[in-house]
Amino acid sequence: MVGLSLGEKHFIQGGIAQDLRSDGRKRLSYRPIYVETGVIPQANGSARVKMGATEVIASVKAELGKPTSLHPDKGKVAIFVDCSPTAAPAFELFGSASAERDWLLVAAEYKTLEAVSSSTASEGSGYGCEYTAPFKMCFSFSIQSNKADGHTRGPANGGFNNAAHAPCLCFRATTYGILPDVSIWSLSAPQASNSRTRSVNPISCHMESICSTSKQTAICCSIFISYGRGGEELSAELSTSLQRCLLGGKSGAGAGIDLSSLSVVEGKMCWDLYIDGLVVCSDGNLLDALGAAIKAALTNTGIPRVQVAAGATGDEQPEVDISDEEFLQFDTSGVPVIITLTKVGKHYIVDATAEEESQMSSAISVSVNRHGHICGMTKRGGAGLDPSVILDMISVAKHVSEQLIIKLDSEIAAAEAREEE
Amino acid sequence: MRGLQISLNQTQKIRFDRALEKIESLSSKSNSNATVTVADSIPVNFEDGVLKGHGTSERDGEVVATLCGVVERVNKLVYVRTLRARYKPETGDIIVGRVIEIAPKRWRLEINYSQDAVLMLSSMNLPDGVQRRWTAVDELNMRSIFEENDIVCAEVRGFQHDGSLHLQARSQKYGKLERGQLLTVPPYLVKRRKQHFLQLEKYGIDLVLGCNGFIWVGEHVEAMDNIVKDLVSKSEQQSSVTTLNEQKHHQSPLETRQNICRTANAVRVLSALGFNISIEVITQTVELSSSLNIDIHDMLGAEFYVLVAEAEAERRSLLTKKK
Repeated sequence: MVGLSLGEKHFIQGGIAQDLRSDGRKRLSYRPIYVETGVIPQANGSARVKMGATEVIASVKAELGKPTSLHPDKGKVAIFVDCSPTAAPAFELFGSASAERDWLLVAAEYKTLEAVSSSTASEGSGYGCEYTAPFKMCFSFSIQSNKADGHTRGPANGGFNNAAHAPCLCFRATTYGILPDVSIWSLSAPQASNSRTRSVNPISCHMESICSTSKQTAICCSIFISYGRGGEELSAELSTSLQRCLLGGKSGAGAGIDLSSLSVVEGKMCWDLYIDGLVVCSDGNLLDALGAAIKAALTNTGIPRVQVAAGATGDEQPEVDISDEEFLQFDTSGVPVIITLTKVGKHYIVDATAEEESQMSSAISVSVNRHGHICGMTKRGGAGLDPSVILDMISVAKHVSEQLIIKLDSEIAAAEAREEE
Repeated sequence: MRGLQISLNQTQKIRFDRALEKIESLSSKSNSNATVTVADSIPVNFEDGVLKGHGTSERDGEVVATLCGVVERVNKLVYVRTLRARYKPETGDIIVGRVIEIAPKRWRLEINYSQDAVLMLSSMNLPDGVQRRWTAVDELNMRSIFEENDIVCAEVRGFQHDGSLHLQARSQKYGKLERGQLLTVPPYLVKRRKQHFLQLEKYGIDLVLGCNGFIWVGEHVEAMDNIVKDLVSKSEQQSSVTTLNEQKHHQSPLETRQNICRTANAVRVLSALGFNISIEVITQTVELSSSLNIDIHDMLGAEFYVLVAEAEAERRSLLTKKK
């Protein structure tokens, strides 16, 4: 994701406020969706979905396995997502194993601990101290490239000014004792590296926090440089969100996919579905595209018919005859679609592009099924949301889902018809 | 037009294919002899002593093409020019770039080329318009002129002896571009013309066609003379305090924004279809969409693609008839 200038950011925010986005869409309209099914012949079912420039592929493979003892009459479904390095430069850059050794914490300085209002000051030793009154704490640390030739990884002269190539700096402060009432961390922008010598200099960050507490609190802070393995973190986040949206809770309640239809012999044999998603090109709104692709792939899935040999007793594995020709179509009328609402400023938009997502404060992804029931929800983004705002976003999502389900079903049907030709 | 993936229904497909065939038949009349594919032999008069350039190689005493493209001959040099090449800068090109780094006495811009271009501080006019040398204080205030990720319009001054590309922005029309959006199209679709700064007065928007494939569509901003701007701002400062803040939070009016989005979508459609992008084609597409009252977002739908292809076929046939 390239950075955006201030003028462009204002343009995007202004457009969203005026209900006219950069490509002419309204706040609640989707980009044109293009569905193709049967793209992977070796899989039981597969689909490719393009929403504008975002392109994802989903595939479903079915294997026979043993059901868990908690749910002997249900099959199992596992969802994994992989972000291909071709999708965005950030996915590739930090994917290698040597990434963690590339960065070195050069200096961490616990700068000041000042009282905001007059009260007893106490000597701080190291990082921890005790305070009884509202105080302000400043921290500064620097990281530097650890590579032997002193060059930073990334573009030849980019240093850290390109946000996509900066490591994700994560600062954890744990407080022992009574938690402070208000704690806000603000990270000031890292200073631009002096690139006369190709970024050998360390990059420093300065963080401040104003905490107010009326009780004694010991603050112990640790600096944790979470080296954003861009692609892997995103893949894990997408996988868990999809699992939450489509498979429901741990007890299996509210699952979008009906797992009992996957059972072959109760307690002994069931179908395991492995759903894999691949992000080929990333231009925002990955979760919606993956949800649509999984729905299309499941519609395309054919599970082979299984003949169970009669007369199996006790703990013996029954003999099965897996047919090569006859396939049962998977029932997907209950599979939900995922709607992601991105909050930019005071308004919500649906189907954000990567540029619009860079301006978001928070986003909610809701999975809604055909009957208007909510099957799962995920919240992303750093800003907090008022509960009334969340309820409003959910109702907007339900309203949008009706049109999306109709559109998606017609696109999937068209894709299947095209595949048969 | 690679991989145009939009779902066309039957009638649309037929119309689309017909329009494309018409365009192809009109264009292929000229110099089809010059196109070569890989391993075609290039007809060369050996007595002249030919120089083999890019895209050629010698095989069995014959000059053979290693690329697919058009054969160009300049005096004794024979080379193959590909049609979908990477952007190749020439002196005098107008380009649009994004600042990625501020270095001592220069800005580095990304311009969709194999290396980054350099805009020297000395190739810029001072903000207050005074003609004097840049001092160390000015160098420290470089960030107040262009910051990281700003979009800048400049002209190619030339190549340095070490191969790096230098730009200059000495005129009023060059500089920072705000209040609009940047589009990226394949660079071979933007041909070099006389005019790259286009002002569509009817819609109140500015259009900058960068030869490197970056196209800026934005609200019209008056390129005032610096001295005039200085006087105006001084008088304004006496009356109101926060002129700068107001400028930052300026919101484009809805009418202008609609025109910007319409033009941007027209450029997107043209680039997806692979047609050359020039001012005539863009205005024609925008007028087509507004005359048919097509919703701005529907311009990216299947029906409008077909309409644009048909309109382009019409326009080209008219052009050839005129000739």
